[in-house]
Amino acid sequence: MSLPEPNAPAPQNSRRDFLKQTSAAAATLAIPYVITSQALGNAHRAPASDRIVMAGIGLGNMGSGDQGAFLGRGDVQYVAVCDVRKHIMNAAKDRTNGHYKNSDCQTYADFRDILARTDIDAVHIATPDHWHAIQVIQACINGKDVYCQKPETKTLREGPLMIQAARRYSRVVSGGSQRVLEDYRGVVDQCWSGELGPIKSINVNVGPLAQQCYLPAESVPEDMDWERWLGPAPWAPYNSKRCDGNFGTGGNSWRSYSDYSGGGMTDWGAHHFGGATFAIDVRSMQPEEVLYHDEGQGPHLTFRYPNGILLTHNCPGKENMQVEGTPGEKREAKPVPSYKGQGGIYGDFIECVKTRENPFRDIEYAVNSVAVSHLGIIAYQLKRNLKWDAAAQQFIDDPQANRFLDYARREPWLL
Amino acid sequence: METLDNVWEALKGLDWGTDIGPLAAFDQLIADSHGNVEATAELENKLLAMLGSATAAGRDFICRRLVSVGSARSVSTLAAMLTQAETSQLARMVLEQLRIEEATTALRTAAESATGAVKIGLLGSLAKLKDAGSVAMLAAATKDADGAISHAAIWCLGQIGGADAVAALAGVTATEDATKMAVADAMLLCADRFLAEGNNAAARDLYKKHTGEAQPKHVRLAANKGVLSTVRR
Repeated sequence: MSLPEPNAPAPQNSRRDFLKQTSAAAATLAIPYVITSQALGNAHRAPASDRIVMAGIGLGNMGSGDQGAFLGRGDVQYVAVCDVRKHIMNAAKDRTNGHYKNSDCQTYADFRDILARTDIDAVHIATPDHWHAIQVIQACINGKDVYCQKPETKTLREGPLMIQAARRYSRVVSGGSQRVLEDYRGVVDQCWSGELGPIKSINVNVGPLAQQCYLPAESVPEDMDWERWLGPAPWAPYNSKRCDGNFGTGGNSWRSYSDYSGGGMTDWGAHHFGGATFAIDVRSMQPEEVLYHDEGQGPHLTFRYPNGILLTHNCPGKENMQVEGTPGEKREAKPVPSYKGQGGIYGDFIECVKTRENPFRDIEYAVNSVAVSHLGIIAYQLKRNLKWDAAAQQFIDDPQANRFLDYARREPWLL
Repeated sequence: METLDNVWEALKGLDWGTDIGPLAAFDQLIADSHGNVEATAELENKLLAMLGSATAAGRDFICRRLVSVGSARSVSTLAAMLTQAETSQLARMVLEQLRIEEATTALRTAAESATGAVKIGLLGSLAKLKDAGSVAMLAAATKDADGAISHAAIWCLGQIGGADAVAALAGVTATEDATKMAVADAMLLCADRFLAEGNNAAARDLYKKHTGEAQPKHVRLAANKGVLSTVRR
């Protein structure tokens, strides 16, 4: 599924082109025994030529859930899976084949082999966070639309590169936080309806920060490609807690460790900061200042946006998503943006793949909301205030803070 | 002071599996040293002195702290780590962030003699630094017999941009689809850079070269959008 392009010949023959041509020929020649009912579609299933051909990269935990959502859609044809753990990859393959009652699903150990397939329109990515930027950008370069699990970025530098790749190739790139729209609807409605007047501030409570990992070496399981799991992250010995995909951030999962994640600050932060920035309508901005407070009640932060609205983090005495408005003052009501299509955030993505619109959690909004987490992590790490030039993507007059915008990828991975 | 001594002692014994709890104080030391040139230099010198005898985990810990407190003083010690597979990324982690000529020169020198994945990492660091001084080396690397290196060099030239990078990319003989795609992407990046710099003519020429039917549809789309951008401006 690509952007309609008048007067442009089809670039290459692909499976999709083949299906389209075959369906058209079948309709013309009326030879129903050539085309199965599965290919022609029915009330619940689009004809093969209208389906979005998809593959999955990273099929553990959230990847499995994402796969299930896309498999369940009649307008998707799921054809391939990639994971560095064979048992997870094979389970995903079996799930696909079981769903379609065939044996067509292909397996890949290297995501680049999936991206090289010209018949695949879109991929969903649910690898650990340190892989997201490389895989999203490579997917765009290869002409794929992308649904990427949150938190979409691991560092501040990654975000603009992902946006640029998406925009350069006119790809639909959706982030993967369903909670931004679905969990905080009451707060969002209050803010967007104008009921609270002009918004002064909102508070987010989330954590903890990820920690560095010096867990002892364990034997690498036979069915796992450890080097590929680490990928661009610094080398470290295998330990099951280091790479477990469970949702904990207390030391027994990759979400606990800073080479692969920002911890709860980015993991739940993608949801909470995403919801908060949506509620106060600053999704298209990044903060210009981060104030670090440590007056005895535990460290906490205040982010100041260019329009003056404040976003506080772990502010003592405040609840999560607590909003302060300006009662009595008027604020114009605005319609609340929502998903397109049917089927929540997954349906939104698929609908946008068809229409070429930007999805609800467009990569730019995703990057901006996760940037709050990254800015906060750096402020907590340096224990001081920071000024942020969002246009230049640099801290102002702070060379030391600028050293934390990114990290050197482990060879041979480049970004 | 005793606490500080404990921290250094704990760092000496750091290995995979060691409790890093006692080392948490180190990050407070770094935060406290901000703006204090002498205190930062003292931390840096002590870390550098320990680097040679550190374990793999110790090197990892030290280099991460040198990202905060490293300076030109760190360059020669880190340069010696650049061509070894076990330590190259750790050294690049610091040198990339120093943003000083000495660090870039060390990366360039190491890249000239390195091979395999280590060379790719070094080229990637130079590309991230937009080091125009590396273009000639990258041009040569596009013809490297190691396909992974030549592919990486193409990517790096796109990151650096400029007329010399475009000339080097134009000299790449691409037969495989993946290489063609990499060259097209690098060229489009160079065109975007020309456009951002106000060199519309160079940008338009480059975009136009990628609007042909031989290009995949999404590349043609990107190129045509680029051509339109040069008109709008």
